[in-house]
Amino acid sequence: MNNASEKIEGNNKYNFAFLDENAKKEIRRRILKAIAIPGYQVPFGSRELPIARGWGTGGLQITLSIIGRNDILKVIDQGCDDSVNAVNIRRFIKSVTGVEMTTDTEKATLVQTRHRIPEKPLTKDQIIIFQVPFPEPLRTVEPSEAETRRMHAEADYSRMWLYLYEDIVKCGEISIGARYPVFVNNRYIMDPSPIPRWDIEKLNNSECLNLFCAGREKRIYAIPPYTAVKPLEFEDFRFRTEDFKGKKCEKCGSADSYLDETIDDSDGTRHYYCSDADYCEKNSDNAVKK
Amino acid sequence: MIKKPVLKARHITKIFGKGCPTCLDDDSSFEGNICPDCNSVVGCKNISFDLYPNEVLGIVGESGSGKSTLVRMLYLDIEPTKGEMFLEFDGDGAEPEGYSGLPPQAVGCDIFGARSFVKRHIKNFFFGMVYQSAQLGLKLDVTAGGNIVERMLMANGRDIKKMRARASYLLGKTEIPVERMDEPPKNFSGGMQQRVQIAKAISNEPAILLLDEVTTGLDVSVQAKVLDLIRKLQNEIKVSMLVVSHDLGVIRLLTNRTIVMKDGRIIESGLTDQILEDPQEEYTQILVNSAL
Repeated sequence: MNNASEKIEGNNKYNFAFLDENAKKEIRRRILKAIAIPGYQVPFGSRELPIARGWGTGGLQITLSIIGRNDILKVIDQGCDDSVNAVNIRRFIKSVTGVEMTTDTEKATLVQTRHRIPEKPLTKDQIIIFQVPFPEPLRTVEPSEAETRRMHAEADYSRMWLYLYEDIVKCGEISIGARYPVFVNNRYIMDPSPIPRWDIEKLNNSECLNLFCAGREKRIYAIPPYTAVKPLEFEDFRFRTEDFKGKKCEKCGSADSYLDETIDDSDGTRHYYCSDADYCEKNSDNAVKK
Repeated sequence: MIKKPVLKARHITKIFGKGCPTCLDDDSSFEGNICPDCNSVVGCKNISFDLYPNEVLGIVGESGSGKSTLVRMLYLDIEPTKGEMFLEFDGDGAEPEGYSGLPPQAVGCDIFGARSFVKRHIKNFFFGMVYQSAQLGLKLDVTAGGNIVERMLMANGRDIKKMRARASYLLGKTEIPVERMDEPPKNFSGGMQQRVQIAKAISNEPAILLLDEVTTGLDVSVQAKVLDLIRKLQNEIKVSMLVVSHDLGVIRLLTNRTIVMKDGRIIESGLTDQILEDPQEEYTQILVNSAL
Protein backbone atom coordinates (compact mmCIF):
# COMPACT_ATOMS: atom_id res chain seq x y z
CA MET A 1 0.00 0.00 0.00
CA ASN A 2 1.28 3.43 -0.73
CA ASN A 3 1.27 6.04 1.96
CA ALA A 4 3.03 8.97 0.34
CA SER A 5 1.17 11.22 -2.01
CA GLU A 6 2.18 9.88 -5.39
CA LYS A 7 1.08 10.56 -8.90
CA ILE A 8 0.37 7.87 -11.44
CA GLU A 9 2.40 7.89 -14.59
CA GLY A 10 0.77 9.61 -17.50
CA ASN A 11 -2.02 10.97 -15.33
CA ASN A 12 -0.73 13.66 -13.03
CA LYS A 13 -4.08 15.30 -12.39
CA TYR A 14 -5.25 12.84 -9.77
CA ASN A 15 -3.65 11.33 -6.69
CA PHE A 16 -2.93 7.62 -6.80
CA ALA A 17 -6.29 5.80 -6.44
CA PHE A 18 -8.26 9.03 -6.87
CA LEU A 19 -8.99 9.71 -3.17
CA ASP A 20 -6.73 12.15 -1.37
CA GLU A 21 -4.43 10.70 1.28
CA ASN A 22 -6.47 12.07 4.19
CA ALA A 23 -9.63 10.41 2.92
CA LYS A 24 -7.80 7.10 2.53
CA LYS A 25 -6.40 7.44 6.02
CA GLU A 26 -9.82 8.01 7.51
CA ILE A 27 -11.34 5.07 5.68
CA ARG A 28 -8.46 2.79 6.71
CA ARG A 29 -8.96 3.80 10.34
CA ARG A 30 -12.67 2.98 10.09
CA ILE A 31 -11.81 -0.36 8.54
CA LEU A 32 -9.52 -1.13 11.49
CA LYS A 33 -12.28 -0.30 13.92
CA ALA A 34 -14.73 -2.44 11.97
CA ILE A 35 -12.31 -5.37 12.09
CA ALA A 36 -11.84 -4.88 15.82
CA ILE A 37 -15.62 -5.14 16.42
CA PRO A 38 -16.85 -7.82 13.99
CA GLY A 39 -20.27 -7.01 12.56
CA TYR A 40 -20.48 -3.53 14.07
CA GLN A 41 -21.36 -0.75 11.65
CA VAL A 42 -18.79 2.05 11.77
CA PRO A 43 -19.93 5.41 10.37
CA PHE A 44 -17.51 7.17 8.01
CA GLY A 45 -17.36 10.23 5.80
CA SER A 46 -18.40 8.88 2.44
CA ARG A 47 -16.60 10.81 -0.35
CA GLU A 48 -17.92 11.99 -3.66
CA LEU A 49 -16.82 9.81 -6.56
CA PRO A 50 -17.33 10.12 -10.30
CA ILE A 51 -20.02 7.43 -10.13
CA ALA A 52 -23.42 7.85 -8.56
CA ARG A 53 -24.28 6.74 -5.02
CA GLY A 54 -25.94 3.35 -5.16
CA TRP A 55 -23.62 2.06 -7.89
CA GLY A 56 -20.98 0.61 -5.61
CA THR A 57 -19.42 3.75 -4.18
CA GLY A 58 -18.98 2.04 -0.81
CA GLY A 59 -17.02 -0.89 -2.12
CA LEU A 60 -15.13 1.40 -4.43
CA GLN A 61 -13.98 3.66 -1.60
CA ILE A 62 -12.63 0.71 0.36
CA THR A 63 -10.87 -0.65 -2.70
CA LEU A 64 -9.33 2.74 -3.47
CA SER A 65 -8.22 3.17 0.15
CA ILE A 66 -6.46 -0.15 0.52
CA ILE A 67 -5.20 -0.83 -3.00
CA GLY A 68 -1.44 -0.70 -3.59
CA ARG A 69 0.67 -0.77 -6.73
CA ASN A 70 1.36 -4.49 -6.43
CA ASP A 71 -2.26 -5.54 -5.92
CA ILE A 72 -4.16 -7.51 -8.50
CA LEU A 73 -7.83 -6.63 -8.63
CA LYS A 74 -10.89 -8.61 -9.66
CA VAL A 75 -14.29 -6.94 -9.88
CA ILE A 76 -17.49 -8.95 -10.21
CA ASP A 77 -21.14 -8.08 -10.47
CA GLN A 78 -23.45 -10.99 -9.55
CA GLY A 79 -20.56 -13.38 -10.14
CA CYS A 80 -19.86 -12.05 -13.60
CA ASP A 81 -16.72 -10.13 -14.59
CA ASP A 82 -18.26 -8.59 -17.67
CA SER A 83 -21.48 -6.91 -16.55
CA VAL A 84 -21.83 -3.14 -16.66
CA ASN A 85 -21.14 -2.32 -13.01
CA ALA A 86 -18.01 -4.47 -12.87
CA VAL A 87 -16.63 -3.24 -16.19
CA ASN A 88 -17.07 0.42 -15.30
CA ILE A 89 -15.59 0.11 -11.84
CA ARG A 90 -12.64 -1.86 -13.22
CA ARG A 91 -12.00 0.73 -15.93
CA PHE A 92 -12.19 3.57 -13.43
CA ILE A 93 -9.77 1.94 -10.98
CA LYS A 94 -7.41 1.08 -13.83
CA SER A 95 -7.36 4.69 -14.97
CA VAL A 96 -6.58 6.11 -11.52
CA THR A 97 -4.18 3.43 -10.24
CA GLY A 98 -2.77 1.56 -13.19
CA VAL A 99 -2.73 -1.71 -11.19
CA GLU A 100 -3.12 -5.09 -12.81
CA MET A 101 -6.65 -6.37 -13.36
CA THR A 102 -7.70 -9.99 -13.56
CA THR A 103 -10.77 -12.18 -13.87
CA ASP A 104 -8.97 -15.09 -12.21
CA THR A 105 -10.20 -15.57 -8.64
CA GLU A 106 -7.04 -17.33 -7.50
CA LYS A 107 -4.73 -14.68 -8.91
CA ALA A 108 -6.50 -11.68 -7.39
CA THR A 109 -5.35 -10.13 -4.12
CA LEU A 110 -8.41 -7.91 -3.88
CA VAL A 111 -11.91 -8.87 -5.01
CA GLN A 112 -14.61 -6.22 -5.17
CA THR A 113 -18.01 -7.79 -5.50
CA ARG A 114 -21.63 -6.94 -5.96
CA HIS A 115 -23.98 -9.56 -4.51
CA ARG A 116 -21.90 -12.74 -4.88
CA ILE A 117 -18.93 -14.51 -3.32
CA PRO A 118 -16.72 -16.47 -5.76
CA GLU A 119 -17.29 -20.24 -5.63
CA LYS A 120 -13.59 -20.91 -5.15
CA PRO A 121 -12.88 -20.34 -1.42
CA LEU A 122 -10.70 -17.28 -0.89
CA THR A 123 -7.41 -17.63 0.96
CA LYS A 124 -5.80 -15.72 3.79
CA ASP A 125 -3.84 -13.64 1.28
CA GLN A 126 -6.99 -12.23 -0.25
CA ILE A 127 -9.46 -9.54 0.76
CA ILE A 128 -13.06 -9.45 -0.48
CA ILE A 129 -14.91 -6.15 -0.59
CA PHE A 130 -18.71 -6.10 -0.73
CA GLN A 131 -20.83 -3.32 -2.17
CA VAL A 132 -23.70 -2.84 0.28
CA PRO A 133 -26.98 -1.10 -0.53
CA PHE A 134 -28.59 -1.41 2.94
CA PRO A 135 -26.19 -1.92 5.84
CA GLU A 136 -28.85 -2.02 8.56
CA PRO A 137 -30.38 -5.51 8.98
CA LEU A 138 -32.94 -4.19 11.46
CA ARG A 139 -34.32 -1.60 9.05
CA THR A 140 -37.06 -4.01 7.97
CA VAL A 141 -38.45 -3.97 11.51
CA GLU A 142 -37.50 -0.50 12.71
CA PRO A 143 -37.41 2.71 10.67
CA SER A 144 -35.56 4.85 13.23
CA GLU A 145 -31.75 4.90 13.13
CA ALA A 146 -31.49 5.94 16.79
CA GLU A 147 -33.68 3.01 17.77
CA THR A 148 -31.77 0.43 15.69
CA ARG A 149 -28.51 1.61 17.24
CA ARG A 150 -30.01 1.16 20.68
CA MET A 151 -31.22 -2.31 19.69
CA HIS A 152 -27.73 -3.27 18.53
CA ALA A 153 -26.15 -1.87 21.69
CA GLU A 154 -28.48 -3.81 23.97
CA ALA A 155 -28.53 -6.88 21.71
CA ASP A 156 -32.29 -6.42 21.70
CA TYR A 157 -33.03 -8.53 18.65
CA SER A 158 -36.44 -9.93 19.57
CA ARG A 159 -38.17 -7.93 16.83
CA MET A 160 -35.96 -9.44 14.16
CA TRP A 161 -36.77 -12.88 15.51
CA LEU A 162 -40.44 -11.92 15.63
CA TYR A 163 -40.25 -10.94 11.97
CA LEU A 164 -38.92 -14.41 11.16
CA TYR A 165 -41.62 -16.02 13.32
CA GLU A 166 -44.36 -14.11 11.50
CA ASP A 167 -42.82 -15.15 8.21
CA ILE A 168 -43.01 -18.80 9.24
CA VAL A 169 -46.61 -18.43 10.41
CA LYS A 170 -47.58 -16.79 7.11
CA CYS A 171 -45.48 -18.71 4.60
CA GLY A 172 -44.58 -21.96 6.34
CA GLU A 173 -40.88 -21.09 6.20
CA ILE A 174 -38.54 -18.12 6.28
CA SER A 175 -39.05 -16.36 2.96
CA ILE A 176 -35.98 -14.10 2.91
CA GLY A 177 -34.09 -14.71 -0.33
CA ALA A 178 -31.03 -12.53 -0.47
CA ARG A 179 -29.77 -10.33 2.41
CA TYR A 180 -30.33 -13.11 4.92
CA PRO A 181 -29.46 -11.70 8.39
CA VAL A 182 -26.55 -13.35 10.21
CA PHE A 183 -25.08 -13.31 13.69
CA VAL A 184 -21.41 -12.32 13.64
CA ASN A 185 -19.20 -13.57 16.45
CA ASN A 186 -22.39 -14.36 18.44
CA ARG A 187 -22.95 -10.68 19.07
CA TYR A 188 -24.17 -8.42 16.29
CA ILE A 189 -26.81 -9.14 13.69
CA MET A 190 -25.35 -8.10 10.36
CA ASP A 191 -26.64 -7.62 6.83
CA PRO A 192 -24.37 -9.66 4.58
CA SER A 193 -25.32 -7.49 1.56
CA PRO A 194 -27.70 -9.04 -0.97
CA ILE A 195 -25.70 -12.22 -1.51
CA PRO A 196 -27.86 -15.33 -2.05
CA ARG A 197 -28.36 -17.70 0.89
CA TRP A 198 -26.01 -20.05 -0.97
CA ASP A 199 -23.09 -17.77 -0.12
CA ILE A 200 -23.85 -17.30 3.59
CA GLU A 201 -21.98 -20.45 4.57
CA LYS A 202 -18.83 -19.15 2.88
CA LEU A 203 -18.70 -16.27 5.35
CA ASN A 204 -18.47 -18.59 8.35
CA ASN A 205 -14.90 -19.08 9.52
CA SER A 206 -13.58 -17.82 6.19
CA GLU A 207 -9.84 -17.51 5.71
CA CYS A 208 -10.04 -14.16 3.96
CA LEU A 209 -10.88 -10.75 5.35
CA ASN A 210 -14.42 -9.63 4.43
CA LEU A 211 -15.02 -5.89 4.21
CA PHE A 212 -18.45 -4.35 3.68
CA CYS A 213 -19.17 -0.76 2.81
CA ALA A 214 -22.29 1.23 1.99
CA GLY A 215 -21.40 4.53 0.32
CA ARG A 216 -24.84 6.07 0.36
CA GLU A 217 -25.58 4.98 3.94
CA LYS A 218 -22.01 5.78 5.05
CA ARG A 219 -21.27 2.61 7.01
CA ILE A 220 -18.29 0.25 7.06
CA TYR A 221 -18.35 -3.18 8.71
CA ALA A 222 -16.21 -6.27 8.56
CA ILE A 223 -15.90 -9.97 9.22
CA PRO A 224 -12.29 -10.72 10.17
CA PRO A 225 -10.75 -14.06 9.15
CA TYR A 226 -11.81 -17.11 11.17
CA THR A 227 -14.90 -15.49 12.67
CA ALA A 228 -18.12 -17.37 13.41
CA VAL A 229 -20.99 -16.28 11.18
CA LYS A 230 -24.35 -17.93 11.78
CA PRO A 231 -27.57 -17.34 9.88
CA LEU A 232 -30.62 -16.70 12.08
CA GLU A 233 -32.60 -19.92 12.39
CA PHE A 234 -35.00 -21.73 14.71
CA GLU A 235 -34.41 -25.18 16.12
CA ASP A 236 -37.31 -26.60 14.14
CA PHE A 237 -37.07 -24.23 11.16
CA ARG A 238 -33.51 -24.41 9.93
CA PHE A 239 -31.78 -22.08 7.53
CA ARG A 240 -31.50 -23.67 4.12
CA THR A 241 -29.74 -22.66 0.94
CA GLU A 242 -31.17 -22.55 -2.56
CA ASP A 243 -31.97 -25.97 -3.91
CA PHE A 244 -30.43 -26.89 -7.26
CA LYS A 245 -30.99 -30.61 -6.97
CA GLY A 246 -31.07 -32.30 -10.35
CA LYS A 247 -29.90 -29.17 -12.13
CA LYS A 248 -26.48 -28.38 -13.53
CA CYS A 249 -24.75 -25.68 -15.52
CA GLU A 250 -25.37 -26.15 -19.25
CA LYS A 251 -21.98 -24.68 -20.14
CA CYS A 252 -19.59 -26.48 -17.81
CA GLY A 253 -21.75 -29.22 -16.34
CA SER A 254 -21.05 -28.16 -12.77
CA ALA A 255 -23.64 -29.33 -10.25
CA ASP A 256 -22.09 -27.75 -7.17
CA SER A 257 -22.20 -24.04 -7.90
CA TYR A 258 -24.86 -21.36 -7.62
CA LEU A 259 -26.90 -21.38 -10.83
CA ASP A 260 -28.64 -18.55 -12.66
CA GLU A 261 -31.96 -19.42 -14.20
CA THR A 262 -32.69 -17.92 -17.60
CA ILE A 263 -35.80 -18.37 -19.66
CA ASP A 264 -35.56 -18.72 -23.41
CA ASP A 265 -38.09 -16.29 -24.84
CA SER A 266 -38.58 -18.21 -28.07
CA ASP A 267 -39.82 -21.44 -26.51
CA GLY A 268 -40.19 -20.66 -22.80
CA THR A 269 -37.73 -23.33 -21.63
CA ARG A 270 -35.59 -22.83 -18.53
CA HIS A 271 -31.83 -22.93 -18.71
CA TYR A 272 -29.28 -22.95 -15.94
CA TYR A 273 -25.79 -21.48 -16.00
CA CYS A 274 -23.13 -20.89 -13.35
CA SER A 275 -23.43 -17.46 -11.81
CA ASP A 276 -19.66 -17.34 -11.21
CA ALA A 277 -18.20 -16.71 -14.70
CA ASP A 278 -14.58 -17.45 -13.77
CA TYR A 279 -15.48 -20.71 -12.05
CA CYS A 280 -17.57 -21.80 -15.04
CA GLU A 281 -14.79 -21.01 -17.51
CA LYS A 282 -12.17 -22.96 -15.58
CA ASN A 283 -14.54 -25.88 -15.25
CA SER A 284 -15.19 -25.90 -18.99
CA ASP A 285 -11.42 -25.74 -19.70
CA ASN A 286 -10.81 -28.71 -17.42
CA ALA A 287 -13.55 -30.65 -19.15
CA VAL A 288 -11.98 -29.94 -22.56
CA LYS A 289 -8.50 -31.00 -21.35
CA LYS A 290 -9.85 -34.28 -20.06
CA MET B 1 -40.73 -16.40 58.19
CA ILE B 2 -40.87 -12.98 56.65
CA LYS B 3 -39.47 -13.03 53.16
CA LYS B 4 -37.21 -10.36 51.78
CA PRO B 5 -38.95 -7.86 49.55
CA VAL B 6 -38.67 -8.62 45.85
CA LEU B 7 -38.66 -4.94 44.97
CA LYS B 8 -37.48 -2.05 47.07
CA ALA B 9 -38.20 1.48 45.84
CA ARG B 10 -36.34 4.27 47.60
CA HIS B 11 -36.92 8.02 47.37
CA ILE B 12 -38.07 7.99 43.77
CA THR B 13 -38.65 11.47 42.41
CA LYS B 14 -39.64 12.50 38.92
CA ILE B 15 -39.67 16.16 37.94
CA PHE B 16 -41.02 17.18 34.54
CA GLY B 17 -39.13 20.37 33.86
CA LYS B 18 -35.72 21.63 34.85
CA GLY B 19 -36.21 21.23 38.59
CA CYS B 20 -34.66 23.25 41.41
CA PRO B 21 -33.37 22.58 44.93
CA THR B 22 -36.87 23.11 46.34
CA CYS B 23 -38.65 20.40 44.38
CA LEU B 24 -35.67 18.03 44.43
CA ASP B 25 -35.35 18.17 48.21
CA ASP B 26 -37.01 15.12 49.77
CA ASP B 27 -38.02 17.07 52.87
CA SER B 28 -39.44 20.18 51.24
CA SER B 29 -43.19 20.53 51.41
CA PHE B 30 -45.49 22.57 49.25
CA GLU B 31 -49.09 22.29 48.15
CA GLY B 32 -50.04 20.78 44.80
CA ASN B 33 -47.75 19.31 42.20
CA ILE B 34 -46.25 22.52 40.80
CA CYS B 35 -42.98 23.63 42.36
CA PRO B 36 -43.45 27.18 43.74
CA ASP B 37 -39.89 28.19 42.86
CA CYS B 38 -39.30 26.83 39.35
CA ASN B 39 -42.82 25.94 38.15
CA SER B 40 -41.70 22.39 37.25
CA VAL B 41 -44.35 19.68 37.40
CA VAL B 42 -43.68 17.13 40.10
CA GLY B 43 -44.66 13.70 38.77
CA CYS B 44 -43.58 11.70 41.79
CA LYS B 45 -41.90 12.91 44.94
CA ASN B 46 -39.91 10.86 47.42
CA ILE B 47 -41.73 7.58 46.83
CA SER B 48 -40.48 4.65 48.89
CA PHE B 49 -42.14 1.26 49.33
CA ASP B 50 -41.44 -2.47 49.43
CA LEU B 51 -43.11 -5.19 47.40
CA TYR B 52 -42.98 -8.66 48.94
CA PRO B 53 -43.09 -12.01 47.12
CA ASN B 54 -46.60 -13.15 46.14
CA GLU B 55 -48.05 -9.94 47.40
CA VAL B 56 -50.54 -7.78 45.54
CA LEU B 57 -49.93 -4.12 46.18
CA GLY B 58 -52.45 -1.51 45.07
CA ILE B 59 -51.70 2.07 44.13
CA VAL B 60 -54.73 4.31 44.20
CA GLY B 61 -55.19 7.98 43.58
CA GLU B 62 -57.02 10.41 41.34
CA SER B 63 -55.98 11.13 37.80
CA GLY B 64 -52.71 13.09 37.69
CA SER B 65 -51.48 11.82 41.03
CA GLY B 66 -48.40 10.15 39.50
CA LYS B 67 -49.51 6.51 39.55
CA SER B 68 -48.71 5.72 35.94
CA THR B 69 -45.50 7.76 36.05
CA LEU B 70 -44.38 5.64 38.99
CA VAL B 71 -45.18 2.34 37.29
CA ARG B 72 -43.49 3.37 34.07
CA MET B 73 -40.38 4.31 36.01
CA LEU B 74 -40.39 0.92 37.71
CA TYR B 75 -40.75 -0.75 34.30
CA LEU B 76 -37.75 1.35 33.17
CA ASP B 77 -39.79 3.02 30.42
CA ILE B 78 -38.87 6.47 31.72
CA GLU B 79 -35.97 7.54 33.88
CA PRO B 80 -36.54 9.00 37.33
CA THR B 81 -34.92 12.30 38.21
CA LYS B 82 -33.77 10.84 41.49
CA GLY B 83 -34.12 7.66 43.48
CA GLU B 84 -33.15 4.04 43.61
CA MET B 85 -34.68 0.64 42.98
CA PHE B 86 -33.36 -2.69 44.22
CA LEU B 87 -34.51 -6.09 43.06
CA GLU B 88 -34.07 -9.41 44.73
CA PHE B 89 -35.17 -12.81 43.58
CA ASP B 90 -34.80 -16.20 45.21
CA GLY B 91 -35.45 -18.86 42.64
CA ASP B 92 -37.24 -22.00 43.77
CA GLY B 93 -35.92 -24.14 40.94
CA ALA B 94 -39.25 -24.01 39.11
CA GLU B 95 -38.25 -21.25 36.72
CA PRO B 96 -38.94 -21.87 33.03
CA GLU B 97 -36.16 -23.04 30.77
CA GLY B 98 -33.73 -20.33 29.78
CA TYR B 99 -34.70 -18.24 32.79
CA SER B 100 -31.65 -16.76 34.40
CA GLY B 101 -33.31 -14.60 37.04
CA LEU B 102 -31.48 -11.41 37.69
CA PRO B 103 -28.21 -10.81 35.88
CA PRO B 104 -25.33 -10.90 38.39
CA GLN B 105 -24.56 -7.23 37.72
CA ALA B 106 -28.01 -6.30 39.05
CA VAL B 107 -27.92 -8.04 42.41
CA GLY B 108 -27.78 -5.55 45.26
CA CYS B 109 -27.34 -2.64 42.86
CA ASP B 110 -29.54 0.32 42.08
CA ILE B 111 -31.30 -0.70 38.87
CA PHE B 112 -31.87 2.88 37.71
CA GLY B 113 -28.12 3.37 37.60
CA ALA B 114 -27.45 0.11 35.73
CA ARG B 115 -26.20 -0.15 32.17
CA SER B 116 -28.92 -0.21 29.54
CA PHE B 117 -27.91 -3.78 28.63
CA VAL B 118 -28.75 -4.89 32.18
CA LYS B 119 -31.96 -2.87 32.18
CA ARG B 120 -33.07 -4.58 28.98
CA HIS B 121 -32.45 -7.97 30.58
CA ILE B 122 -34.49 -7.03 33.64
CA LYS B 123 -37.32 -5.68 31.50
CA ASN B 124 -37.43 -8.91 29.53
CA PHE B 125 -37.09 -11.39 32.36
CA PHE B 126 -38.12 -9.82 35.60
CA PHE B 127 -41.12 -7.66 34.81
CA GLY B 128 -44.38 -8.18 33.00
CA MET B 129 -46.32 -5.05 32.14
CA VAL B 130 -49.94 -4.54 31.17
CA TYR B 131 -50.59 -1.03 29.95
CA GLN B 132 -53.80 0.92 30.16
CA SER B 133 -54.11 1.00 26.39
CA ALA B 134 -53.33 -2.09 24.35
CA GLN B 135 -51.52 -0.03 21.69
CA LEU B 136 -48.66 0.52 24.12
CA GLY B 137 -48.28 -3.09 25.13
CA LEU B 138 -49.05 -4.89 21.88
CA LYS B 139 -47.97 -4.67 18.28
CA LEU B 140 -51.43 -4.51 16.79
CA ASP B 141 -50.32 -5.51 13.28
CA VAL B 142 -48.44 -8.60 14.44
CA THR B 143 -50.48 -11.74 15.13
CA ALA B 144 -51.73 -12.35 18.66
CA GLY B 145 -49.56 -15.46 18.85
CA GLY B 146 -46.58 -13.44 17.63
CA ASN B 147 -47.12 -10.86 20.35
CA ILE B 148 -46.95 -13.53 23.01
CA VAL B 149 -44.07 -15.38 21.35
CA GLU B 150 -42.09 -12.12 21.18
CA ARG B 151 -41.42 -12.23 24.91
CA MET B 152 -40.27 -15.83 24.67
CA LEU B 153 -37.99 -14.83 21.80
CA MET B 154 -36.55 -12.14 24.06
CA ALA B 155 -35.78 -14.89 26.53
CA ASN B 156 -33.92 -16.79 23.78
CA GLY B 157 -36.73 -19.20 22.91
CA ARG B 158 -35.75 -20.72 19.55
CA ASP B 159 -38.19 -23.60 19.15
CA ILE B 160 -41.26 -22.51 17.22
CA LYS B 161 -43.42 -25.54 18.03
CA LYS B 162 -42.79 -25.28 21.77
CA MET B 163 -43.37 -21.53 21.80
CA ARG B 164 -46.59 -21.85 19.81
CA ALA B 165 -47.81 -24.54 22.16
CA ARG B 166 -47.19 -22.28 25.13
CA ALA B 167 -48.78 -19.29 23.39
CA SER B 168 -51.94 -21.26 22.68
CA TYR B 169 -51.99 -22.50 26.27
CA LEU B 170 -51.78 -18.91 27.51
CA LEU B 171 -54.47 -17.77 25.08
CA GLY B 172 -56.68 -20.57 26.34
CA LYS B 173 -56.06 -19.43 29.86
CA THR B 174 -57.06 -15.88 28.99
CA GLU B 175 -60.15 -17.22 27.20
CA ILE B 176 -59.21 -16.18 23.70
CA PRO B 177 -60.24 -18.72 21.06
CA VAL B 178 -57.07 -20.48 19.97
CA GLU B 179 -58.22 -20.41 16.33
CA ARG B 180 -57.68 -16.64 16.40
CA MET B 181 -54.04 -17.02 17.40
CA ASP B 182 -52.77 -16.05 13.94
CA GLU B 183 -54.97 -13.01 13.65
CA PRO B 184 -53.63 -9.55 14.47
CA PRO B 185 -55.08 -8.01 17.67
CA LYS B 186 -56.31 -4.98 15.72
CA ASN B 187 -59.22 -7.23 14.71
CA PHE B 188 -59.97 -7.93 18.37
CA SER B 189 -62.29 -6.13 20.77
CA GLY B 190 -60.79 -3.92 23.50
CA GLY B 191 -61.37 -6.54 26.18
CA MET B 192 -59.74 -9.25 24.09
CA GLN B 193 -56.75 -7.01 23.37
CA GLN B 194 -56.39 -6.44 27.10
CA ARG B 195 -56.43 -10.18 27.71
CA VAL B 196 -53.84 -10.78 24.98
CA GLN B 197 -51.70 -8.19 26.77
CA ILE B 198 -52.03 -10.12 30.01
CA ALA B 199 -51.13 -13.38 28.25
CA LYS B 200 -48.08 -11.65 26.80
CA ALA B 201 -47.04 -10.21 30.14
CA ILE B 202 -47.13 -13.56 31.93
CA SER B 203 -45.60 -15.62 29.10
CA ASN B 204 -42.12 -15.45 30.64
CA GLU B 205 -43.40 -16.06 34.17
CA PRO B 206 -42.06 -12.74 35.42
CA ALA B 207 -41.31 -12.22 39.10
CA ILE B 208 -43.28 -8.99 39.12
CA LEU B 209 -46.40 -8.14 37.15
CA LEU B 210 -47.23 -4.45 36.74
CA LEU B 211 -50.86 -3.70 35.94
CA ASP B 212 -51.61 -0.12 34.94
CA GLU B 213 -55.35 0.62 34.93
CA VAL B 214 -56.14 -2.68 33.24
CA THR B 215 -59.90 -2.34 33.43
CA THR B 216 -60.29 1.30 32.53
CA GLY B 217 -62.33 1.81 29.41
CA LEU B 218 -63.81 -1.66 29.43
CA ASP B 219 -67.49 -2.32 30.00
CA VAL B 220 -68.57 -3.87 33.25
CA SER B 221 -68.94 -7.49 32.11
CA VAL B 222 -65.54 -7.47 30.38
CA GLN B 223 -64.07 -5.77 33.45
CA ALA B 224 -65.35 -8.66 35.53
CA LYS B 225 -63.74 -11.14 33.13
CA VAL B 226 -60.36 -9.42 33.24
CA LEU B 227 -60.47 -9.13 37.03
CA ASP B 228 -61.44 -12.79 37.31
CA LEU B 229 -58.47 -13.68 35.16
CA ILE B 230 -56.06 -11.68 37.27
CA ARG B 231 -57.40 -13.26 40.47
CA LYS B 232 -57.02 -16.71 38.94
CA LEU B 233 -53.44 -15.95 37.93
CA GLN B 234 -52.69 -14.66 41.37
CA ASN B 235 -53.65 -18.06 42.78
CA GLU B 236 -52.01 -20.13 40.08
CA ILE B 237 -48.62 -18.61 39.40
CA LYS B 238 -46.14 -17.28 41.87
CA VAL B 239 -45.99 -13.62 41.03
CA SER B 240 -45.93 -10.34 42.88
CA MET B 241 -48.28 -7.76 41.46
CA LEU B 242 -48.50 -4.03 41.47
CA VAL B 243 -52.03 -2.93 40.62
CA VAL B 244 -52.58 0.69 39.68
CA SER B 245 -56.13 1.91 39.58
CA HIS B 246 -58.35 4.82 40.39
CA ASP B 247 -61.19 2.35 40.86
CA LEU B 248 -61.53 1.41 44.52
CA GLY B 249 -63.60 -1.63 43.56
CA VAL B 250 -60.63 -3.07 41.67
CA ILE B 251 -58.33 -2.29 44.57
CA ARG B 252 -60.66 -3.92 47.08
CA LEU B 253 -61.06 -7.01 44.95
CA LEU B 254 -57.43 -7.64 44.10
CA THR B 255 -55.01 -6.19 46.59
CA ASN B 256 -53.61 -7.06 50.01
CA ARG B 257 -51.95 -3.75 50.68
CA THR B 258 -52.61 -0.30 49.30
CA ILE B 259 -50.75 2.93 48.80
CA VAL B 260 -52.72 6.14 48.38
CA MET B 261 -51.12 8.79 46.21
CA LYS B 262 -51.90 12.47 45.82
CA ASP B 263 -49.94 15.13 43.93
CA GLY B 264 -47.09 12.68 43.35
CA ARG B 265 -46.67 11.80 47.02
CA ILE B 266 -47.66 8.83 49.14
CA ILE B 267 -50.11 10.14 51.71
CA GLU B 268 -51.26 6.91 53.25
CA SER B 269 -50.43 3.22 53.10
CA GLY B 270 -51.54 0.08 54.86
CA LEU B 271 -53.70 -3.03 54.54
CA THR B 272 -56.39 -2.54 51.92
CA ASP B 273 -59.25 -3.32 54.31
CA GLN B 274 -57.91 -0.84 56.81
CA ILE B 275 -57.51 1.92 54.27
CA LEU B 276 -60.96 1.43 52.82
CA GLU B 277 -62.81 0.95 56.11
CA ASP B 278 -60.91 3.35 58.28
CA PRO B 279 -59.13 6.00 56.22
CA GLN B 280 -57.03 8.36 58.29
CA GLU B 281 -56.16 11.11 55.83
CA GLU B 282 -58.76 13.60 54.80
CA TYR B 283 -58.12 13.02 51.11
CA THR B 284 -58.52 9.25 51.47
CA GLN B 285 -61.76 9.77 53.36
CA ILE B 286 -63.13 11.86 50.51
CA LEU B 287 -61.94 9.26 47.98
CA VAL B 288 -63.57 6.37 49.86
CA ASN B 289 -66.78 8.28 50.50
CA SER B 290 -67.21 9.38 46.93
CA ALA B 291 -66.69 5.83 45.68
CA LEU B 292 -69.14 4.15 48.01
